[in-house]
Amino acid sequence: MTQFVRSAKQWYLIHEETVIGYLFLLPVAAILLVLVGYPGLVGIWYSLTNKMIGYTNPSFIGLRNYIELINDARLIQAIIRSLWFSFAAMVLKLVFGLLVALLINQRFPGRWFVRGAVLLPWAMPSIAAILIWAWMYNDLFGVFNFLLMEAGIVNVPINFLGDRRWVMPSIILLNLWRGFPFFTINLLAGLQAIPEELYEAARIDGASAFQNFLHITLPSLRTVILIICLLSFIWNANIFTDVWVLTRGGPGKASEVFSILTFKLAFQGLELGKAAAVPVLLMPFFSILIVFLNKAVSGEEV
Amino acid sequence: MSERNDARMTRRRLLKLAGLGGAGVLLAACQPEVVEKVVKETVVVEKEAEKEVVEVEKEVTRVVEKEVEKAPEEGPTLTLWAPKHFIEPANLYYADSARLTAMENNFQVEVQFFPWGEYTQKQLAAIEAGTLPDVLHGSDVPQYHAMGILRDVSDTFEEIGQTGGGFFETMKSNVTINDKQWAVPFHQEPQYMYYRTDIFGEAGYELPFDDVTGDWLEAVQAVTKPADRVWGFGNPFTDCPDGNNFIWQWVFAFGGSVQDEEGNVVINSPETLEAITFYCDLLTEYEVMPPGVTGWDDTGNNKAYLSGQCASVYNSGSIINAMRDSDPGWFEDTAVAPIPGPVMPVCMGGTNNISIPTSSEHPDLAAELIKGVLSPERYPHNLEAAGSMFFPVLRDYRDLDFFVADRINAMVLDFLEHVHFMHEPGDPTPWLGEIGDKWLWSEMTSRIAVEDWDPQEALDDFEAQVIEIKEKYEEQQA
Repeated sequence: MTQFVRSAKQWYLIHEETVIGYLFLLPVAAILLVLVGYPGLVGIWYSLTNKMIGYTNPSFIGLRNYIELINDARLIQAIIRSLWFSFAAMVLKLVFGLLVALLINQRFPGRWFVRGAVLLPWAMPSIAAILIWAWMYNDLFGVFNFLLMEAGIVNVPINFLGDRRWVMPSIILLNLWRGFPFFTINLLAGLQAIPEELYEAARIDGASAFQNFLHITLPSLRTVILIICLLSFIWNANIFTDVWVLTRGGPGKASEVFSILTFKLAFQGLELGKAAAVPVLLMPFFSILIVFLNKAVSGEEV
Repeated sequence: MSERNDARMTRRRLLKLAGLGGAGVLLAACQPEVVEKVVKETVVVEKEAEKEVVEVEKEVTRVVEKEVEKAPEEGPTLTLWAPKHFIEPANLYYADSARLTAMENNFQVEVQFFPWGEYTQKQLAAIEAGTLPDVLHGSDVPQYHAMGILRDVSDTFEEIGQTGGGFFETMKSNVTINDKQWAVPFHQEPQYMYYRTDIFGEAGYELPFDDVTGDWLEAVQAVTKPADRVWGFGNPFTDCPDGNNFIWQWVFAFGGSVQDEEGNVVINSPETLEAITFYCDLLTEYEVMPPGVTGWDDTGNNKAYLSGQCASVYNSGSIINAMRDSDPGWFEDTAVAPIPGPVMPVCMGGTNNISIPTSSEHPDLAAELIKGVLSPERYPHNLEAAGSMFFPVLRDYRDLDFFVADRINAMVLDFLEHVHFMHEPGDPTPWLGEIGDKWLWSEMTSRIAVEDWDPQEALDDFEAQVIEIKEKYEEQQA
């Protein structure tokens, strides 16, 4: 057995390196404390008070905000809506993004133009894009209704943003359009990292194109898919801009996702305490997602 | 290099593509600025009665700018926050009148405009952060007074009143709490019904209407022709100012109110029930509104009226201004009137007030600033620059030619006496503001019309929410 004996000087060197390492981390730690830690702690504190915007004497009320929220069907519905919206949008973006990635991974004339064009929805300023879609969805002037009616598919305009049945699919469609380039570009990078030899070996063994896709392409993209799906889910679960600009949560409460509810509680009801309790309530759920994401990014088994 | 490598998305190619995309987006983003510039240069307002076109103080703005530029930079700098109106000359002249006042009083002023849609959030965030400006244009007076963030401006109010024949009583009551004034009214922005007289005339109906449940209903049904995509009336059933504000006025027109003179909640009444049921029936039973109203934003009714798809809508002066500029023909065929309620005619008395936050380090200069923009030299220009959007808060200015000689402006002046505020017949209170901020009115009607709630059930829930809000404020104030 080899015994390692370190001199006092060596220990000092190791210790010195460690100290320097921590010193390098200090600015980041300070930034995180100020920008993440402090607001987070204040948020948790507010959630335990009856804090109202503009009124300076919040009282500690324990878990009253949480109890009221848990018993409020509106919050439960908003959370369910957020989750199914995030899931549906994620699945659609994955399917569509993968199809487009497979397509633009082929060699064809104008391929570089198409690859650039695919990025545009993602690069376009979000408010401008959403307003354009709101206009396209309009029942009186929108291009969707115009085309559907011209094609004889419908006789009366579809009330995309004002009908409870249509509003969430309409928001998902917009989200799909805005978000699929992110999936496409990442999947394309993943596709190009798959060694050509794997396909050649499969070809020699007589594998069909579908078998190639199922047994080579998909498994090779597994980590990429996992990361982009988790990211997409987390982003969409927090979605605000798309819904606020398009519908403000309406008609009625048909598109009220939890971030919209939080905003309404804080800025329309001035109930900062209760509004702070909503994201705190969801913090464990998002923490688990973030742990999964970190594991996926670092290549660990999720 | 192999084919595989050639097809690979390199970092350089990715950057190149992103750069190309970004350039395209930048190019597109440049467009609105050009349009805005053109609009600024060509703003004219037509004085319909005299059939003449008057340039709205375009030159005044430039002269003021030159004078302000020449002024030495001295004295403290005050900050003024104001809402950005759709009418750019009004914003420009307002900013200039503030700067000119500052120059005359040896201080500087930085005027910052914010879009209406985010102005309340901006103010609330500033209240929490303690970063309110020296002068705040457009505040919720009862709410902010309850928060203790407004200064008493009774003296300034009194002084300005003396220069303009006194404030209208409705304007005074809106800013008065405990016999003191906490803001100075700047302009009235009433909202009223718009009618296409040509469409109603062709159907054999003449204005004015007497009763929404009688001749008005008959008329809007007669002109509704969904096959031609024309409807008798249109108003958003969504969470937006027009969707929300219209309903409480409709309720008032049916004899309902939110509170009584003592401040008790009295909204759950047969009158309110009749009003909201009838309003929702206009969409679901009588089908005189486009089905899309359940998805309209605040501009939905403007667009529907200006495109000829709704023969009547409810709005402020913004539609008049749009017609003067681009649809003079339709302007001729338009008349305005209060809501012809079965109990009384009603139109909304929207106001904009200017206040001085307690955090201001220069309250005296802030008061000078308010006096300057409401001075006899500048206030008429401020009103005229806004076309038909702003109406005076001071009695003397209702006699300006701009108002009395213009057909539509004169109509509006006639029914300013029917202006009502949500707090009536009680006093302004902070909890009433939250009913508006939370869009509870439009929530109630969209529950009935979109979510198939029973009207009484929706009204009960509305009342419960109102009482809860009121109790919340009473708890805070205690």
